[in-house]
Amino acid sequence: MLGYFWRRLLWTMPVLLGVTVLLFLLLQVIPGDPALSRFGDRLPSEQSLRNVQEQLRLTESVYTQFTSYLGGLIRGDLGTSYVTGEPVREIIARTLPPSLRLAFLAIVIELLIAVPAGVLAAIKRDTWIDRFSFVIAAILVAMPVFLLGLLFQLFFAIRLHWLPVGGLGDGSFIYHLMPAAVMGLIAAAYLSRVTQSAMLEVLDSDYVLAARADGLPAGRIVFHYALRNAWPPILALVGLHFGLLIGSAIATEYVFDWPGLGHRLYIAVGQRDRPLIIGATLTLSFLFVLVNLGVDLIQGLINPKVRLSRRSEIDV
Amino acid sequence: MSNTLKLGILIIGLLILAAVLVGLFDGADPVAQDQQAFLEAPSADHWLGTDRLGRDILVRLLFAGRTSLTVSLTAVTAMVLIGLPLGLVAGYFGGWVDNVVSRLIDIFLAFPFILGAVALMAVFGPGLWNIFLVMALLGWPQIARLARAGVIDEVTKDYVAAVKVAGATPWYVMRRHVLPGISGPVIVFAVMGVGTVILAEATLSFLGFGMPAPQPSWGLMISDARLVYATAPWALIAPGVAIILACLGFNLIGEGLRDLLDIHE
Repeated sequence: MLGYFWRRLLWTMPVLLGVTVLLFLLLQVIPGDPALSRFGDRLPSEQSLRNVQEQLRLTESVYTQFTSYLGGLIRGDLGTSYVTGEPVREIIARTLPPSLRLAFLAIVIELLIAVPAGVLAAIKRDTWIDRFSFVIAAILVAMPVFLLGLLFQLFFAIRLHWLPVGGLGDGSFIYHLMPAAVMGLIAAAYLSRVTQSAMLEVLDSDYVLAARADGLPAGRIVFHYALRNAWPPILALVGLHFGLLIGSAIATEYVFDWPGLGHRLYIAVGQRDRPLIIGATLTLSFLFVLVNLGVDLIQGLINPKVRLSRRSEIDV
Repeated sequence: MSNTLKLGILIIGLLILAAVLVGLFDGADPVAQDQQAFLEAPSADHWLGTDRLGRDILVRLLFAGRTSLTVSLTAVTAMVLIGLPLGLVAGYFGGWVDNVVSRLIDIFLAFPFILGAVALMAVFGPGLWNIFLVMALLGWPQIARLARAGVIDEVTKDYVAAVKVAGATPWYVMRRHVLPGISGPVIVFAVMGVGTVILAEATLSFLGFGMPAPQPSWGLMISDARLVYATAPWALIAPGVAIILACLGFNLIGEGLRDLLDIHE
């Protein structure tokens, strides 16, 4: 098990290095002189522009820029923002926690909705409950997260005045609720379908049939036998959904004016603030890879079959 | 044919028909402003109302449908054209070819889709062609991974091994035995992918990184409606319903095809 853990962890290193190289090279071609963004609307003199260019190390070759960036990265230094001059690491340290709180709450909401809905739809197969949850899930899967956000805002904040329109406010729970619910609901639409099919598969299996024949109460069969064995696919999807959440966080945080990393990345892209775009994307991709690694490991822990079958994939 | 598939085909068929037909009307101009009607509720003159610049929402909606369908269908085609051959070659030949392709797939899949798209649109700048490029660039690894797994599944079967021993060329084996085996899952995935790209284009345009204004795009229309949604919710609802229908339509076709071709995930 420990060998498996190290192999998996070791393997994420070249992937992350590749991600860094790819991002760095692609973002090199952003048009316009980044040094100009320091001056806002003013047109700088040639000398002061030159000074800023040198300060931002733009006069060096791409290769030198990359190796010094990589050197910084190892020391945990992500460079400084072209626009504000603030260290990227500090911007991320400030904006990541609010985003993570939202993502965590969204996953809780996702599970609270999707697992009961999926279980119910599986038990009540081919009834109106099953069809109703199918229709709702199909619509939510096809709905862009920002649209649901705007509709919630319109309904719960502007019409009903139940919840704040957006922002972090005093940081209390009520400000987190709407953006997290929006992200959680969309993710729950996918998860409820997976839960349902995983449950159906287990409910049709021989040992459940045997348990039924044995006269075990239905509730015990569902929760003790079926749900427990339906967990691995549910868990795998929650890991993958972390990527979906990161993507939807950009639009959601923008709609709700949430001071998170997704929103900050949105601003950075508008300003073509290269170090911040690379730093934010890298951080979020790193988290994504890490969460999936965690999910893989937990699955390997639950089910040795996963551990063994993935081995061939790694030892290439 | 299941009801799911029929409903999906019906929705997408109507959408394509409407997007094509709207170009035939002389008066239909997505950027024309009616100075007499700003933010007007749906009426006989403007069936779905007008937006804050007095533009007819229905006309904009249908022209935006052209944008959305064009970019999603072409981007998914490009994904398949890049991903399928790479996946086939990697899975069939294995060795260092497989190593290179697989590592490339791993790297690309480390970016959550929308995150990668937003970061790349910073490089490419707004525009239809650039959305297409970014979608194709980020989407091919999924197809390649699917194709690769399918090939490995097929070539390890005994009958394929027998054909190889009998002296069949790789090209023959791929065309005759491998491609028919994996085309089902790839088609289903590609159809579902169209819905994903529609959502991604809408998101990029909503954020201001996709289609440049005043071009018609569903995401852009929603971003415009955001400024007035408290007083003119119809400006928000109409493009919203359009996105949901388009994406739902392709998802239904995908699911219908999956059942029809009897593919298990």
